[in-house]
Amino acid sequence: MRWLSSLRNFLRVNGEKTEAQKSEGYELEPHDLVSRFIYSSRAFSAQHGFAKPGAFNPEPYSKLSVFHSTGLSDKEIWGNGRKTLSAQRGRDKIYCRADLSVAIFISHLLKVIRDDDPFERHTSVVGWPNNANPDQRKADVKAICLELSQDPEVKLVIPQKPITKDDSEPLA
Amino acid sequence: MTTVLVPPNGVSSLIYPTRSTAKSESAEVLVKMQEDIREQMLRSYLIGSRANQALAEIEAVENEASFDGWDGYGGKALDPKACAVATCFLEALPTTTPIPEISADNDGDVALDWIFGPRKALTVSIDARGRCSFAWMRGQSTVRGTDWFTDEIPANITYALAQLTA
Repeated sequence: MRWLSSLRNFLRVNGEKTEAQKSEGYELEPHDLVSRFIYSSRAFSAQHGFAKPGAFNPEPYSKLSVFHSTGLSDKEIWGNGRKTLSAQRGRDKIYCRADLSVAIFISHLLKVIRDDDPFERHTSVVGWPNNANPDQRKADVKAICLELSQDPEVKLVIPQKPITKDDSEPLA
Repeated sequence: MTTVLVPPNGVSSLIYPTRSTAKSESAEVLVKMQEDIREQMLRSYLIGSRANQALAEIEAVENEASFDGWDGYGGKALDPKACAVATCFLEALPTTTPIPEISADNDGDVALDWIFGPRKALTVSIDARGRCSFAWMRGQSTVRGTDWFTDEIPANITYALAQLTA
């Protein structure tokens, strides 16, 4: 019944959501894939092929924004990434993205909630350490970010040139 | 009393600023010799260019993250005071320590990352007060903590670097 499982997964990802799901978001499954778009040239090391720990830092809002990429092709993911770009300085280019499974976040006791806000497929990683002592909290968050950065299952995808809003290639 | 400065954790101490409080004549001679050697090393082409490279990196990071939202996710602008502290931190690093990759944290801190191989890495965030939030990993072990930079590299970070470069 593999086809049934595939159909169920397709409907879950692409099908209609209930009103409650739309307003509150819903938790993604461990096998789901998400992408973290990286808009800063210093948040990754092309030489070593990894995203730096800071690329996963959830500050200043205590949640990490990622993109739910399950079922999408590479071109579609970049196309959606391009839609997030604007003329605003700091958000005008995507240098690369880090692809990882939701299971990796879950292994660090984090929750991955697809909320579709502010754009479709937007997902928030929440549940970061919240120690009352800000020094301790920062160290706890850094340890998780370092683990994510060094996880061999986290795949850094670097395009030939940074993705910009005005690229001639049509959006996926 | 004559004192001898012992390198902490096997790391060369030649480039540490001298911190002896010894008063005897011979101790003063030793301190002077160490300080001369240190200055000589810092003036040398290799070490000088290494230091300049790190300082240029800090400047570039400061420029890139000089405004709110620099990271595309609403991150806070880099705190210039954190940059000043990070500069002192880099200047106090042993010359035998590899230069870290320098970037900004989205809460305004300066981030220094050393990657020595798979699961062999150290990351340190420095804020305007000299708070050093760090995490390092070696194999399956991950260590985290907070220490403070005043005028010398915090012992926890020296220890981590010694472990990772051993």
